Amino acid sequence: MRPVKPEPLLSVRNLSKHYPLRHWWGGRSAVFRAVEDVSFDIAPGETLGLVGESGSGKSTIGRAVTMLNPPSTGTVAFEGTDLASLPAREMRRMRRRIQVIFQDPYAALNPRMSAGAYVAEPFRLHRPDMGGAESRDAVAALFQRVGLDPRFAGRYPHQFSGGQRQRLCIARAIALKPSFIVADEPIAALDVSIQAQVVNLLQDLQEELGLSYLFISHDLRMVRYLCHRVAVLRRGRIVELADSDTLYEDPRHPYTRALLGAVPVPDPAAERARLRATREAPAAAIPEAGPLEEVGPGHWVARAAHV
Amino acid sequence: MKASPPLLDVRDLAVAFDTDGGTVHAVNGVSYALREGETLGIVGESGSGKSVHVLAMLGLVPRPPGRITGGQVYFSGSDLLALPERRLRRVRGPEIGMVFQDPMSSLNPAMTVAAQVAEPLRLHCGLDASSARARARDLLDLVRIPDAARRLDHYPHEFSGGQRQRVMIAIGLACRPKLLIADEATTALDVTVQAEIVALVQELKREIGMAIIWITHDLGVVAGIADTVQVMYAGRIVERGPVDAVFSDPRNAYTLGLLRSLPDLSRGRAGRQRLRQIEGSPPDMRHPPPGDPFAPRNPYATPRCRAEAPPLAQVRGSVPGHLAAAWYDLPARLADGAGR
Repeated sequence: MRPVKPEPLLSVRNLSKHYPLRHWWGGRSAVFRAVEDVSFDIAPGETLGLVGESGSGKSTIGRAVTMLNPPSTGTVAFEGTDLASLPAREMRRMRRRIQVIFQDPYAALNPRMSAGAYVAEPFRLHRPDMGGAESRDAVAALFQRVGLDPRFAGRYPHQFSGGQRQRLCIARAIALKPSFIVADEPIAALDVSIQAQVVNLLQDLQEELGLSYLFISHDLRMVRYLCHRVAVLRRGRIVELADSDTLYEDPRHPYTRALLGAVPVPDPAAERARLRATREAPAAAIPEAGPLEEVGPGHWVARAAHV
Repeated sequence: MKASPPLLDVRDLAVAFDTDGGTVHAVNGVSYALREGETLGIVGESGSGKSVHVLAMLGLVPRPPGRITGGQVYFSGSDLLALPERRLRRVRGPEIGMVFQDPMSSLNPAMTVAAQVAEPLRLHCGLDASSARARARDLLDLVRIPDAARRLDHYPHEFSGGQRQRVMIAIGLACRPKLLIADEATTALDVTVQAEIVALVQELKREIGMAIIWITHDLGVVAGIADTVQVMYAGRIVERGPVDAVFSDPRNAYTLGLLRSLPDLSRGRAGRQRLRQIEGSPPDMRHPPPGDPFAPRNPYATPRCRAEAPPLAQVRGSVPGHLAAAWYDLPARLADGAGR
């Protein structure tokens, strides 16, 4: 049994990503299982949150479902088409519909390309029919849409603040009217006062364009706010998957509980009480995750693996 | 109760950096005092001066491009800014321990952990090699590294991120300093590891009784561990006071904006509101805006805010020591419904 919803936009089944581990003098080879047997769906207009600690496989999944780093096994069906078996030409066309936003907007930008040229690049690559004037107008509209002054199109990345750079990356990501965006830690590198701006923008764009997001984040507070459903990842496996209210109010897996219990609360009395309670309660042992089991409607929890 | 002299007394500290694009005024007249055993949480974003002012008082700002353009920093009675580097080296480490964000770049990858924990003990505490090693093992025990005796001879890459940060804390505490400064010490760590480090520092504080300056952008961490919180923006302190007072009754609009922009972890999706974002971007400190540097982003700003920088002053109607820099009366402006 797998978590399934009718007519998903993206349907990931039994996705695994293995890396060969070879000892440096040769010898017995082994595999590192970065992601193991992960399945989930994303509905049109839905945001699925992917949370878990560093090394849990969050980003690997993001790169696998976009075929930036294709999975070792498993299928990734986008509107019913398996991306892994798609010929390169077809995949290139598909890329218009699937976009990625990364953590560090400065690294994603080309320092020697003006902001306008950067946002217009998808048009050059995918819309050769577009004339110069048409492209300029489209870029101006995109700047406006993400809250940037179109007069800044001639500026270079270093002339923008971190938040503005992330807006540029978002403008480029929505240029070709995608239906699905993987946002990999899009606010982690931003100042606290800027994070809410970017989250609000992502949400507005979702409402306007009917976008689906895979929102990869370690910010459990933002994930609850932004995501319809949340998958908790540990050591490459999903340990729990549910709609976000259920997951945050009724976490079943000991790992989910540990994760949610570790989030500091910005209220002094409540936070001191939380620290005291944590000090007194012994940490629960966390079993290795086995297959998922549906404990309530749409609420999936990993059984303890039989070792 | 007669107040004893503070452990740390920062007076009107100012730091500038000369860059190709002009002079960056990173710290602009920061003054505060820290009692023995007090935990001070400093909150601010990049460019707020929260890290730079600490580096400056420890003589760790590279000159050039950095310049200390004014102020004094009294620690146990002597002005750190006036001390020669040779004397300052006997303060950093033995008297003021430091833990930075990235333990991997602070630890030497080619030295065993034992050698690195023992180094300050030999240099500053006058221990010989074998007693320094024994004490290093005790310190790793203290920071709860399992199997400390065996792990002494391991190299940094053999430790997890959280364990490396524990090693840094062990080094920071090696000579039992009176003050521990942690600069974004848990920012790079996972939330469960952060929780462990915070709990560890709390325990060590109970055992050792040192004062702590905890620099972070995470209001949640500060809420739990700080006695006093200090909010910085554009190289100034914009609000400071007992943590309960500042969190429950913020009087500077930036503090309020930070607190309000966080989504509530206990609030479900039904009936949730759009996040209350702070508009605009932090100022370019080469050309700081005139007056209150937050005024261009502040929906509660008055004409005076845009003309004249407000002093940090005792908040009327709040507890003693609750200070804010604001020309406007925030509770009154909120009651009027200004700025939405």
